[in-house]
Amino acid sequence: MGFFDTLARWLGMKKKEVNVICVGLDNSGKTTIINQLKPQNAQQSDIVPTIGFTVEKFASASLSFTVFDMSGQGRYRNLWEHYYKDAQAIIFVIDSSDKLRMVVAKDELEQLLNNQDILSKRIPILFYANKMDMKESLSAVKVSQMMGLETIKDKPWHICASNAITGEGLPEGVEWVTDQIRSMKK
Amino acid sequence: MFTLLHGLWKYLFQRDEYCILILGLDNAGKTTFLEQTKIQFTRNYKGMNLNKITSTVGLNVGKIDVGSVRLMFWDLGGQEELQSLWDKYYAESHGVIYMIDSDDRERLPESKLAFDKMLGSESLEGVPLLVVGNKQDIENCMTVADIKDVFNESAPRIGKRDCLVQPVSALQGTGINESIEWIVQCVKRNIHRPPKRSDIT
Repeated sequence: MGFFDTLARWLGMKKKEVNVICVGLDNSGKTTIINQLKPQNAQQSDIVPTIGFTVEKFASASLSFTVFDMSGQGRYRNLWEHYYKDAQAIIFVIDSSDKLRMVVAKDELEQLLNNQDILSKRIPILFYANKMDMKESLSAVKVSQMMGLETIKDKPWHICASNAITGEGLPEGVEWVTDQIRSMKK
Repeated sequence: MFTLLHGLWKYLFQRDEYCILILGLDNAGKTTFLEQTKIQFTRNYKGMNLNKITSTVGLNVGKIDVGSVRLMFWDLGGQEELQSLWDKYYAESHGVIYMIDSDDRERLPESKLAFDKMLGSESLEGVPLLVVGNKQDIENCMTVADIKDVFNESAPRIGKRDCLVQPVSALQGTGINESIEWIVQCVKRNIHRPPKRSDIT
């Protein structure tokens, strides 16, 4: 099988596979975002809170993504760190209309950044300031200030405002991640 | 004996690391400049398609080794709202590259405003400053002399720090070498901001 794999990749028929981990607080819209990125016929119509984690796949123009969609609930957050090691990019979803819990998200981000597996890597982090359609939502810049993103100095990061329900803003983020991953590989 | 070996170890495996900020208005070509620099200074680096670079909202980083020093670049977003993030990086940077779009005469005053605001920051005092007139490949763009004319008013604010205006075409890669060489020289000479030591790995 290995031979056919190599051949297929060589002929450009098979896309390069990358692992991505998707984290964020509960009810920030992680599963909705991943669902929106999947091909139309594979999309689910209703989203329920994720328990543990789910593995999803989708493809961008040149890469095929395997996403570990983690549960954001407090009791499952300690699961995140087990997946850092294999991840080539992180998607961090923030509910931009939830000012109250922004500090909790900030805390979780800090813990993530101080993890040994992350600390040593130059891994790109994509932030989705989700739920931008809500009336009380903050702008992407305001979110980045509240989250203290300027303290991240050794990893490339990018923040996009998004609306996971309509899919607005999502392609830009995926494009950025694709560019970053491709430029990492020499 | 230990000191000797330790010194040797350091000499072989450690480099002085300097952090360089790349600032300027949006669409000036900061990310293109960074990518082009990476392409020119890193062996086997293919990079992304220079024609496809979109606006940065966040941070791009790049690391290059020039001789015995390592430069770490921080390329920040230039849009107006994002300029509020710039000052968070000032205290830790050893050098600043300020990008100007030489083809955009209309926004030159806006660029100068942002430039002046940056110069006014105390935490950047004495930090070498490279002003890059980008997009020199476009016909009828402003020359370095034109840019100097406008930015001369800021001279008192620049004060004693090292400053150079350099014509560059980030897309074609001209002037990049000179820019990097100059900035390396200056950050090395600047004793007020000693470098970080870092292991080569």
